[in-house]
Amino acid sequence: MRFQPKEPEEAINYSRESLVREAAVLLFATGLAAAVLFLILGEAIEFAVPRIPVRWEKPIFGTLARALDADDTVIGGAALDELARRIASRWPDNGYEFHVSIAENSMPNAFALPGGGIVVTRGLIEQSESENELAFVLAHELGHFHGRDHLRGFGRAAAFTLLSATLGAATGMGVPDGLTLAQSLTQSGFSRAQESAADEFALDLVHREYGHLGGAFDFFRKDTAGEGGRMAVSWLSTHPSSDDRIERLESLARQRGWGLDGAKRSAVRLNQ
Amino acid sequence: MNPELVELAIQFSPVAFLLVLGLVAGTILERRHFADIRVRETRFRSLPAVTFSKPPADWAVDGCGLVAGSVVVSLDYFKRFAAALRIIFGGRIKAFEPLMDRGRREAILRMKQEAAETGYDAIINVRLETSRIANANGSTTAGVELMAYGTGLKLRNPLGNALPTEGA
Amino acid sequence: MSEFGEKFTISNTENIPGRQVTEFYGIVTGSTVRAKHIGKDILAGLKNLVGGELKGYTELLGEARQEALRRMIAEAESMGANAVVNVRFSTSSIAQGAAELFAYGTAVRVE
Repeated sequence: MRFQPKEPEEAINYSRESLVREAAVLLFATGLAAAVLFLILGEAIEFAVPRIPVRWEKPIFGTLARALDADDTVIGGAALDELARRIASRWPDNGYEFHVSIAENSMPNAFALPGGGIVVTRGLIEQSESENELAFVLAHELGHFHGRDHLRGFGRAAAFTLLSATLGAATGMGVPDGLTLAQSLTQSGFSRAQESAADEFALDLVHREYGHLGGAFDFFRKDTAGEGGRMAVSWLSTHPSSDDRIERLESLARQRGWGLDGAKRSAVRLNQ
Repeated sequence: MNPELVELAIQFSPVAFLLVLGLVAGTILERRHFADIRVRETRFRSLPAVTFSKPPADWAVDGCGLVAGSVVVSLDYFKRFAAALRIIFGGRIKAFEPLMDRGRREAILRMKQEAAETGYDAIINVRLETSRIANANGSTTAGVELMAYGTGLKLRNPLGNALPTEGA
Repeated sequence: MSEFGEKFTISNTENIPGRQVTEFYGIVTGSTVRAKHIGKDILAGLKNLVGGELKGYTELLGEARQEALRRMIAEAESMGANAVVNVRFSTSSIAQGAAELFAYGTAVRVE
């Protein structure tokens, strides 16, 4: 038996071609597939949301919502709770038990959770100069409950997180930062129609509560370039632009003959 | 420009940078490694490594011992990204194949290096092993270990009869 | 392994029974790395609940192993061999969702 030293041909076990093209095609296909799946899930959510009774929200989404709920041990939170309930009482038979919790974040933001939870950031409270102003924001969130937008938003955020987690787990690349449920929830805005409907609803509630709309739109008049400006822009960008918004609300109020001025109540302040 | 688009672009720019870095540096390093492998394969070509479990009958064995070589290799960022996309759709993961090939050849070369340094003339009963080395978190892959081991043989009648003629 | 034709022989024995090894060339390898797609993963996940054969995976790995063998033979043929002896297979998971199918042996010439 003779030894004949020889090397096999190169590149039998691999190909030399560049993978850039293949990666680009696959990336596009992944994006497309994710978009289609997201659309289908969106349709399913649209179908399901109006069919979920208010009293089922807590049992269905309670666990998930609680994970997102902010720390509610902050002193002064009770005053907010009271304010929210007072305004919610202007929406009779709503079926919810509203509860406000405070998130330790200096950026002004607020969002609605399934089951009746409203999360408000400390920044929002501290930047508000009157109760009326804060009341409008809370009433706006109540408007989202009224339209069941919070379930849609929650559903979409959950669908988005599920998709990205599935992709992350399947490929072993892990879930990208910024795609957690909480983050996609705060970042997934509602549609303009939903925002307008919530605004209109809030207008009605605030007027019923105070008898006028004085100070209600102050939050939208704030200089967003100031402290906490970046997040304020980000929050507001998921909403109609502030100027348009004020204009629209004021013209609505005028049509209904509601006063745009009136005594403002002093702002809610958190101790600590 | 839409501030959200700018924010998105800022968020993804590090990823884009790593992809380009991985693609450029990874390609250069891979080419270099393959070139280096070919040079060393030529150097060790007269030292046979085979999977026979016994030495051929006409070899006069004068001593033996275990020899091994191993290497842990990993994909560059771009290839890992390309592989991740391929894993979604299934099929042949081209990104991994050159890695396995050069890793395995590197392991065989290191085994041959050890054999040559010990004074062996041939390696028999060669086995090739592959293991995945996981990261601390267990989910993502840090690298792949390729290992080659076998029994080095010292021969009284070196395989001179079969030494290659120039250009063979 | 008749699909590779009569001219080429592969075996996992030391020799090809009834034939004489006249020359040997060295180790040849054949490998391919494969992924099954997410759909199959999900189906297999469901099948895992009840156990039994995961047909999708069996087919995929079987087909990939044939590819690994083809490549090993291509290497051997490029060296002028007409047989590979002492062939071994190995399958390893090298990343989540990715498996390498690998075959290796010694390229020889038999008469």
